Amino acid sequence: MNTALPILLIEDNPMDVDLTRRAFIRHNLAYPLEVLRDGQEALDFIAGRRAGEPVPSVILLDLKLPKVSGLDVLRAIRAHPDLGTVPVVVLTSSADDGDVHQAYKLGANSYILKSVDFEKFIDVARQIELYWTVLNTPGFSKRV
Amino acid sequence: MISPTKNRADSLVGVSRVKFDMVALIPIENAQARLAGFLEQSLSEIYLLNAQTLLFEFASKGAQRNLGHEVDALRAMTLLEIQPEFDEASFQALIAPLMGGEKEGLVYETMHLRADGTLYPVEAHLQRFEQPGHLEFLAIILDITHRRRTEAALQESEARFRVIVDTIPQLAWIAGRDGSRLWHNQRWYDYTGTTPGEMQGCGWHKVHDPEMLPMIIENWKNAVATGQTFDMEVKLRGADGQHRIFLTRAEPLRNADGRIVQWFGTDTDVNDQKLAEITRRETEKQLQVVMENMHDGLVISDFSRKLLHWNPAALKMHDIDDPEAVLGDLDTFAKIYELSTVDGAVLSIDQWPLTRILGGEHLHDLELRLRRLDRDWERVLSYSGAVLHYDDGKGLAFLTIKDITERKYAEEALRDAKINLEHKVSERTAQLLAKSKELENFCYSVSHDLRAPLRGIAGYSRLLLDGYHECLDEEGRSFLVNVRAATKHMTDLIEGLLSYSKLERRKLSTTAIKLSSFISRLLAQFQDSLKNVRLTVDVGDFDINADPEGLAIALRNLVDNAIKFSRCTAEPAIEIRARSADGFCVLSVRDNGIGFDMHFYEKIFEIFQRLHRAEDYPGTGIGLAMVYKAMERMGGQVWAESERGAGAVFYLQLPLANAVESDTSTINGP
Repeated sequence: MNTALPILLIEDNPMDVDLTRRAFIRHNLAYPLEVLRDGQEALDFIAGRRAGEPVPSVILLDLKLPKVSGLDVLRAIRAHPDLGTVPVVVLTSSADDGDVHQAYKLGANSYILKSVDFEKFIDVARQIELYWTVLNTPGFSKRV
Repeated sequence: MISPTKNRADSLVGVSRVKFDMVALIPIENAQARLAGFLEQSLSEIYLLNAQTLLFEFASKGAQRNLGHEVDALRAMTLLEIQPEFDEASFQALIAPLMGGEKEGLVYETMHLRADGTLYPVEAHLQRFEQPGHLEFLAIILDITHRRRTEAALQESEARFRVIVDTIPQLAWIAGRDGSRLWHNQRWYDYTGTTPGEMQGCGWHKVHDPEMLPMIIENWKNAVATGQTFDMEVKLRGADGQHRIFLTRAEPLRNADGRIVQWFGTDTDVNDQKLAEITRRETEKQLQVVMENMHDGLVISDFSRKLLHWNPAALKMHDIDDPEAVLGDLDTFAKIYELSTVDGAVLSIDQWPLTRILGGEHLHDLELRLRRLDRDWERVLSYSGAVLHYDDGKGLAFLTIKDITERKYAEEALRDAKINLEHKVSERTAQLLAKSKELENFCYSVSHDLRAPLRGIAGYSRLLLDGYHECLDEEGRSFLVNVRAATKHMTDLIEGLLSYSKLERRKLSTTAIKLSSFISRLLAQFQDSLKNVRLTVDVGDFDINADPEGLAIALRNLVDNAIKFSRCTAEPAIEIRARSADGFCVLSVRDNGIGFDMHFYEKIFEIFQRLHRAEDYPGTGIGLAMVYKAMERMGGQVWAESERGAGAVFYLQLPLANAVESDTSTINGP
């Protein structure tokens, strides 16, 4: 399991980070979750990567981030030679049409509205987990 | 025909005087014989006849020649035989005074019958001639054929004169030496409607204009006194009672001695010419007044570019105090003034309006700047004009000028103001857009930042309820349930607020909507909640102009409300209907629910206003505010009627898509 590629969560709200983690735990899924707490930290992370370093299996990205916006981070991810192909799920509370449009335009793979309802949150976690599992099945991942 | 002229007895006296003269000149014994010879040889027609028998006793040679009878034949004839107009009785009546001795002689005219049967007119002078024992008549006959002819000729000439004078178009008259009228032609009587009797003497006064009459009389008296031609315009009253203007002219007729015998006058009707002249003068005067007073400037020039006339307005527009200084030709004018286009390009004299007009152009509102070269003065003038032709080849150039300086300045000011305003508007619009953006960002932040803690509350209360269920007693668990319900409500409020603000910001796309299909699609979303409701939909076949999403929001909220507030009714019923009114469609949603008190009518469309308790009818108080906002943005109207406990009806009014056509068909319909 340790060889499993981590999920990268870029989210500033600690409560959301905790709830996300717990939602995954509720599905008895132990997996590495790397957390970046603001946009700048995300950009630094992207810039500091060495070539050939393992990439995350999926990136969960909040749009409203301190310092640097999520959309700018998304742009940086897509511009990176290694991270460019990693699936990005935008996980945000903004239902603004402009945001949705912009996110897809910049290459987001999915746009999920954060629900206040915890049950729905768990649903989202399950989708992501499914995706993660498939991705980490030996012989399936294009990267392994 | 006998016409005795008894007053002519004098001439007979003359004859006897001859007799006495003879007596005085020759010795008496010779006198008898010489007189008899004289009478016999006389070429005059002289007879002696017996007064009783009327048989001729003597006829002169002239008598024999005139009658064509020999003296012997004549001795057997009576006077009546050569004067056939008489018979015995009429002749006896004629000579009765001579017979009775009351008269010495008498004169009469009659016809003499010649031997050849022809007649000739004569004047007979018959005189008593006493002979011893009997009475004789001496008849001296004057052949008056020539006189008669002259008389006839005179009569004929007079008749001809009258015919002529009656046929001339003028009224004509003849006055005596003293000025009194003797005769008028027929036209006079026809025109004045008078009779010869009325016109005698001073009768003509009656048909003259009373106001002018004294002067006419004075002038006429003066003419009669001096013998000078009378010439005057007078007013004569016609038979219809209307006065017309005549030119009266009278010339004196003089005899060979140069003495005035008569006056011949004519009255020529000059009424129409006079009136035309008056009208023309009036028109000229009016034109003059118009020209002098018109607000527009008027300059008239001839073909040689000579400036003939400037009206006062034109002088004022050119700041001219002394017209003489510029009333020369165009070249003189050009020494003082400079014309340029509105933009300031100076025009050569060939490009000046008057020059162009004289070149055959018609100008309409050519706007130019006029500047005085001798002082700081400038106006903006608008020129119009053309050459107007009259008579043969004659013409004048008319140039009308309007001073549009103020208008031009106003236009410029307006343009500046407009630019300024546009600038301001765009500034304000930018500010508003910035504000709107700010508000948008605010809502975005609210949605994000308020929802994040809510997610925490909801998430952890859920985890608590699931993972720590056993650690809590019933009351603790109910607290958690309440926390979650409150969270849910808070979420709904935030969502509602967001929708409301979004409704305010979003762009409208108004289009024609078929109401019936639009409503069926909308109601399909309510399928479940309408299960227990008696639904009536009758929206006809209207097409309305609206923004589909705005209309959907309004209707959805109304249907939502109708369902919500009629839920507790025994038999919930909802009616959706539409009707047209003055180019609009009025859509109504009626329920038989709890209704509301009209006292609170003002509040129902305000945001966050609720008339019912949350536990009875859950809601955010945003729904009707959304309806109101949506209708306001679409240019429609919403209103409601209700009574507490008796249901409510909400009306939406929006323009019909084919309003114009349907209106027309109503007007043109039977």
